[in-house]
Amino acid sequence: MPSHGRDKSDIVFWQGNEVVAQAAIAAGCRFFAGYPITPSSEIAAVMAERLPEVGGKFIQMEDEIAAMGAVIGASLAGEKSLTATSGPGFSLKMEHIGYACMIEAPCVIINVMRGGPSTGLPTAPAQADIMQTRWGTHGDHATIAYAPSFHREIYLYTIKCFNMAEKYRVPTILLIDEVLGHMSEGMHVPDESEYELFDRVKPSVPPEEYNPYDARFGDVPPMANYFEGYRFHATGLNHGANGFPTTNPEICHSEEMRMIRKVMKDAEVLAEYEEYLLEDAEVCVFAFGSTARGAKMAVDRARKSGIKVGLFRAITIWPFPEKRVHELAQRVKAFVVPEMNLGQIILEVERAAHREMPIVGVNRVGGVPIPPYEILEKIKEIAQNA
Amino acid sequence: MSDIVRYEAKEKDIVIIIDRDLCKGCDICVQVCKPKGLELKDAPDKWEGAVVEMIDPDLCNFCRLCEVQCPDFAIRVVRKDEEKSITVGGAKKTAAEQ
Repeated sequence: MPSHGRDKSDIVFWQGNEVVAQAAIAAGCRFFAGYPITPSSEIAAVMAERLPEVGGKFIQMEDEIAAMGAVIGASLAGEKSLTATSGPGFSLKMEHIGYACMIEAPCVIINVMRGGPSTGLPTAPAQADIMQTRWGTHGDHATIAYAPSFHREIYLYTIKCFNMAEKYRVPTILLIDEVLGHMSEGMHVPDESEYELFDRVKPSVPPEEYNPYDARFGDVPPMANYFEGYRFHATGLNHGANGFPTTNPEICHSEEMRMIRKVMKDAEVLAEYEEYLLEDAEVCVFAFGSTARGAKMAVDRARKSGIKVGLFRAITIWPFPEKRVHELAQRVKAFVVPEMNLGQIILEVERAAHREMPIVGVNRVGGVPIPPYEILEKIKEIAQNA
Repeated sequence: MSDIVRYEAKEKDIVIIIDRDLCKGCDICVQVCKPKGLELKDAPDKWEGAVVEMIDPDLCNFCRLCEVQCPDFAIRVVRKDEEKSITVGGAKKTAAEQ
């Protein structure tokens, strides 16, 4: 059975999935709905055990679609709510994720990425859901997604997901993969002083004056919870400030713009990353998640042979850290982009770089993490030709 | 500013309330009203161009199918003493312009 390590002086030895669940509890999550799917099921198992201990509720739903529905319902009732899944379940959730975007319901979705497409490789890692995270659900919508690389980071960014969901009233996604989810790593459990918790802004007007999408209060409207005296209509149809459907093109346009703008105007602040040995780098390795761990080893080895290479480790995937990548692109000679897919985040690197330069991928599917020597070989090849 | 119209029957304990901003003129309530008490009228001041009106509230038989079938919560049918305990449409008092 998973250990809880609640004595904060302990080093705990948790698998990544347990880290996610424990962090969610620490973040104030009190509702989980999900459906088991390898390699995410341990998140549900730990939540099932922990939630009753803190007065929360756990439901195993009949499928991932229903789970997402339950999560949205719980969010409307005022709970910080969570679901966890992998690729196939993520695909199933897509329409409801769009609904959560449209009604601006805070919620957190963990995608422990596995080999795909379709049933794929349940017990093997991949990083192939990057574009789906951004565009899986139809229509224009904002996305916030993080891809931590280390267990302590998984803990802190799980908490951050809840904070961002509450702050921006948007579904927020945490991307890890089967390796991070199932790997156990020693860590000190972050103390409460290391993070803040953010709750949704509640309305300052009485119920009879409340409009659920009232832009007079800013791009993120204060959110009333159901069962607290406020009544409002939540619909996936385009709607106006009072929540009721409208086909008025001006209102639809401005409301959709607001829902994008509420996140994107903070895109620079939201973009978190780590830069390693990039000050004098001529080659930049762009990596994220578990791949970044191997990429760092490759960078260190390459430096030993005299290559001026550094690592840009993206933690925020969406909104993509385009400003910083664009800046780097003006002074480095090439990018190497290792990812466990056939080329997804590299498209964003190319877009952000916005100039003619070698941007090459190191791509592996088939479920094996990218060996550092493959990244090293590519760095050497690029450094020779650059 | 809300645009809500009340139709109070004279001979029966019935009030029909229509929110002319929520009504999109889809005609479902008109079709479903057995006593044919409702009709669609042009409304050039409304975005959707047409809203429903009550021909004569005393035709209403209180079956409430119009309320049940309306996709937009635009029509309510209540007893006279129930009226104060319901909310029709969006927020009653709002300064936000639609």
